[in-house]
Amino acid sequence: MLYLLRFFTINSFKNKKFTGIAALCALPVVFTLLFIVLYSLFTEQEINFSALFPKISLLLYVHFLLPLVSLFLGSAVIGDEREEQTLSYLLTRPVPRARIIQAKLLSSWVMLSVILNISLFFSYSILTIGSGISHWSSSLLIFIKSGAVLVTGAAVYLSLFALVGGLLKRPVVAGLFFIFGWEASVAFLPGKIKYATIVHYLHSLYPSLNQINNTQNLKANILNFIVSVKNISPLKSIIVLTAITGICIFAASLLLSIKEYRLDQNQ
Amino acid sequence: MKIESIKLSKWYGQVIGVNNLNCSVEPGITGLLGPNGAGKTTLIRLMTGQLRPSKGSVRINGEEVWNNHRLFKNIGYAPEKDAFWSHMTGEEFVYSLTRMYGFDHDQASAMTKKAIETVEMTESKDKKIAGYSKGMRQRIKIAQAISTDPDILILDEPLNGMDPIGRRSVIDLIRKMGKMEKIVVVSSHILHEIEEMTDTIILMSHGRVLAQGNIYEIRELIDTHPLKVVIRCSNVDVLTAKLMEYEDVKSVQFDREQNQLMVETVKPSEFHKRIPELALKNNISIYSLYSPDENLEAVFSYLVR
Repeated sequence: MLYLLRFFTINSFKNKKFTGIAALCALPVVFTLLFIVLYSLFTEQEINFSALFPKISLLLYVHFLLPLVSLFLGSAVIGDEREEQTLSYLLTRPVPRARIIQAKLLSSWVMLSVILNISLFFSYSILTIGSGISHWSSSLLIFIKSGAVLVTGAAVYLSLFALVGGLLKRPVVAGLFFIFGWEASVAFLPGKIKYATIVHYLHSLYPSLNQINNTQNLKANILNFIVSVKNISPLKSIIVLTAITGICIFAASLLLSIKEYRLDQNQ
Repeated sequence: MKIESIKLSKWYGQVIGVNNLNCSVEPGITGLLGPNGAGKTTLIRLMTGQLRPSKGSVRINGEEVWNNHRLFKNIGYAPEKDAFWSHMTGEEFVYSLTRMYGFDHDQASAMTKKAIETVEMTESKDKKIAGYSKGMRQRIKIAQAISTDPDILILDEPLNGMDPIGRRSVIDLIRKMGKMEKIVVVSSHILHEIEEMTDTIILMSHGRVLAQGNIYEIRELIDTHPLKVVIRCSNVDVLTAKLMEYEDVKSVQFDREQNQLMVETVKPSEFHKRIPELALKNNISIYSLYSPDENLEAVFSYLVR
């Protein structure tokens, strides 16, 4: 298992897809930079950019980048090997099939966590460094907590999309609908339906959202719509997210164990 | 050691991959022969546990292959397709796949080195596979299949795209493996390739086994199909006349200039026993005797027809 994990981790960083994902992860950094430049140019009012970090990062990372990149990586956990026909080698090694998918998932999780946190770090630095180095270092805990939420979210989304990738022929379409249809709308509806979204639990783990809500001098109120009420404890959220991850990994492993992959062939 | 297919069928929806196939493979080299679409790759994928039988079973030493990863410890497999992690070098490729058998770094490195030497790829082992020629890619695929010295070696079209020198070295390597009491299954749609490696064949067409066993024995079984025998001798006229007396001889064509006659017989064994006797009695010297039918091409085209 350890060698498989190492093998897939090295592969995931050397894969052609890595460049595309890295470019996608650079988008929030560019957006953050643009936001600061435009805000400074067109508004005279003072704004505490470092206080904005949790809200901006929630919008850009938790709502956009995390699920999107997880979808591309998770749904391709086996799909990539199938497309490249390298699955033939993996399935003929004396390794349980379930272990292959678990190692691949774990390596994708490592890669995604690293790349998301690098991107988050740049966004954080851009937002806080303008207020001085003391601001940068004093808010570091918020960055670490936010990063931890992304790492948690990556585990949940990757395992979910790995399962979807194993079940459906077009997992990306279903995944996009889930991310930008279901999660983006249901998570903000009143009532209990939002409990059926992953993002709701990630919100409750996100640091300092209440603090941002109370900020009076916040001009960028447009961002407020994404902040959900913290009506679930972090512990409960962690339990639910862990359960979702566990169930999805178990189901995806089981699926690979019983499913046959008909690679393109001349019979 | 044995690979058995028992009433094995595999369907892809409406399309039949293999159909009610019974065959067994024992130590030595077995050639899996058939035209494209015959079901060779399907059978190989069933033998290597990549596909689940729709009906029947494939067993190695009595154990079902599907979903039985423990069996793969003793199987080396090289697929037909050019499938690689293209960022890897040849050495990394062989090493990685060898490590997946559970060997530690030192063991896997030594095995990799030996396998790469065996396929004569030492000089190119540090180059990226993406830059390899077709022949080099075939050899590196074989290297990963033989690196663990498996008891069963399954090679799907291993000679595809190889140059004559590479082809010769791979044929020699396969022959060597066959002599080591290992099961070696080699598929090909090119008959003379298989003929150079082995006499034991499984002949497939349209998902069925048409014939299995020694090529010459198979030929004997086709007793309704006349065997052609070409004889060069000192007296064509007398030998022709004598041969025509036998019922199993269906036709004789002769060429006096070449001192050669071509006989069609439906009882090849009896015919071959008879020739020396006739030659002695009639004082005829036999310069050469061969059967143009006794090659795979002839058997194959007859059986597939």
